Amino acid sequence: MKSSIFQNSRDIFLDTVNAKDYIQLDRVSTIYQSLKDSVKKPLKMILLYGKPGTGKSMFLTKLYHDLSSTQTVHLYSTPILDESEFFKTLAQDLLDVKYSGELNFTQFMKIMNENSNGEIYLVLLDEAQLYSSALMEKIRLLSDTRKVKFVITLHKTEKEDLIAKEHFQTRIWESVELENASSAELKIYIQKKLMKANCFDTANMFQNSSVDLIHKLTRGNYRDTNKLMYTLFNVYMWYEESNPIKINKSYISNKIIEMSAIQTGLLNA
Amino acid sequence: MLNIYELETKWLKYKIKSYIPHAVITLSIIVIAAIVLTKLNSNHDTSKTDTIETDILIEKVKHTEVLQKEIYTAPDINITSEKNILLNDIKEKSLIVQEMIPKNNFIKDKIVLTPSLNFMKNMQGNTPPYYVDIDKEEANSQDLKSEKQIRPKVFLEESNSEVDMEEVKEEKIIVVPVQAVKKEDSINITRQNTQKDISLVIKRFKKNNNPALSLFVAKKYYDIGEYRQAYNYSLITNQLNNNIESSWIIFTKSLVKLNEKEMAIKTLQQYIEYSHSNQAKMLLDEITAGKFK
Repeated sequence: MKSSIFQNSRDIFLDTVNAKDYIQLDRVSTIYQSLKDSVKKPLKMILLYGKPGTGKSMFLTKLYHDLSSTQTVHLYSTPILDESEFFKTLAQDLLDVKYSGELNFTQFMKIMNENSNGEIYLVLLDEAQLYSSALMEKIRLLSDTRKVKFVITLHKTEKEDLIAKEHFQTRIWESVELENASSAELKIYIQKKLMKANCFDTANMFQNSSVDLIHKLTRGNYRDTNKLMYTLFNVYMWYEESNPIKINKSYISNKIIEMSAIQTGLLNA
Repeated sequence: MLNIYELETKWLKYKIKSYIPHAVITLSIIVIAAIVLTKLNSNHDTSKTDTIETDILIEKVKHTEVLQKEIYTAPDINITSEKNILLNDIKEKSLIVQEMIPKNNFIKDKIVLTPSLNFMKNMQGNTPPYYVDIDKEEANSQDLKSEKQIRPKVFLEESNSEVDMEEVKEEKIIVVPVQAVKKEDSINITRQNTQKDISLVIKRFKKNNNPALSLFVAKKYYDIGEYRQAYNYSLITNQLNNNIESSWIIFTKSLVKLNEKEMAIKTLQQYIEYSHSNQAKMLLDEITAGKFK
């Protein structure tokens, strides 16, 4: 069965974190470049924070993808909540030391001193708000040794602000905030994403009014936008198969956008 | 799995829900606007009616003032000594009459009082044109005199009637019944050809030697049978102006009445030769035929 343009477009917006799917927007690109510059500086810790769905994970993935070719970078997208497991993973990845049994912070520091070759390791920690305060304190102490440089991402909530204040405020040399996209940025994001996958027809269907409505519903949140777009093209697929008279392929219908928003829970019907 | 039909139903409900606040706000605005407009209109109407009522009141006052003036300046208003009685009756009926007079008939009720000229008609029959003009002037002057005499009389009677000015104002509105009474009891002024009147004309004649006045005297004397005097004044008239036909006719008629028939015929013949007057010829025929004695 031949896949329709709507199906191809739908699959683009599957909520996955892949560096290849990174969309360069002017403002985001500037932020990303400043983050890359900060990594090169002799800083202990870099904080990347923002509301959920603003692209922190994507940023971190992109950074890992870009830097791994030139230096040793370790990305931990999923938090390792157990302290012993965390240090054992670091010992294996950074120092190539397999440790059996429990490994605490003191033992890890001993291994680090014994096996370090003077290289500064770069560790990227996503969803750092999930780490316990005690572990975060040990991560801080580890960064103070200047043997490991951390780039961590945090959700910007009251609780995360508190964590940042208590553990990292005095040690963080660089902090980067990510924000939701504006309406214009969202249009570029959608169209670039579609065009990147050669979905030019569907990319042209997005007029300013349609994108404004999407922006109004998602408030520029990339994750919500992806969800909405996925559902939107799913609905279009259904109409294309079941009742093609009801859809106009020259523009995105506001009715179908709203229906998709109802389906995804962005609108309360 | 997408259930599009359910999703469409939900979307329809959502649209209806989303339009409800707009509809409510729009309706509220319309209702408020309608109420405000209605109130404004009602206020405007009441102010209009107020102004109309004020206008009517002003019109009433003006009308009352006009009537007041008319009563005070009426030239031949004939208020006699019965006025007090009439006023009393009017005072009693004033309220009823006020109710009877419709509000919108103020202009219709306006009374125009004109002087009676009946006496002029009586005089026009037997006076020459020249005399008539003079007589009209005199009559007008006499009329003016009579007006002047009447007016103060009216005021005096009103002042003596011990009626307050407010009561008098009320009377003004009751001009209609007064007019009705006046029409019923209207007096035709007729001139009485008495010796007194003739003597007054003679006095005037002595002042200006107007042949019209002497002819008038001659005619009046002839009418009352004073042929000698008629003869004298017609002779005086002929001396002043020998072209007045009626003077010569009165002169010859008087001669006939004074048994001077021959002299009358002779005079007429001479006048006919001079003037070729048909009236003189007819009179000569009547005298010679013995029809006029």
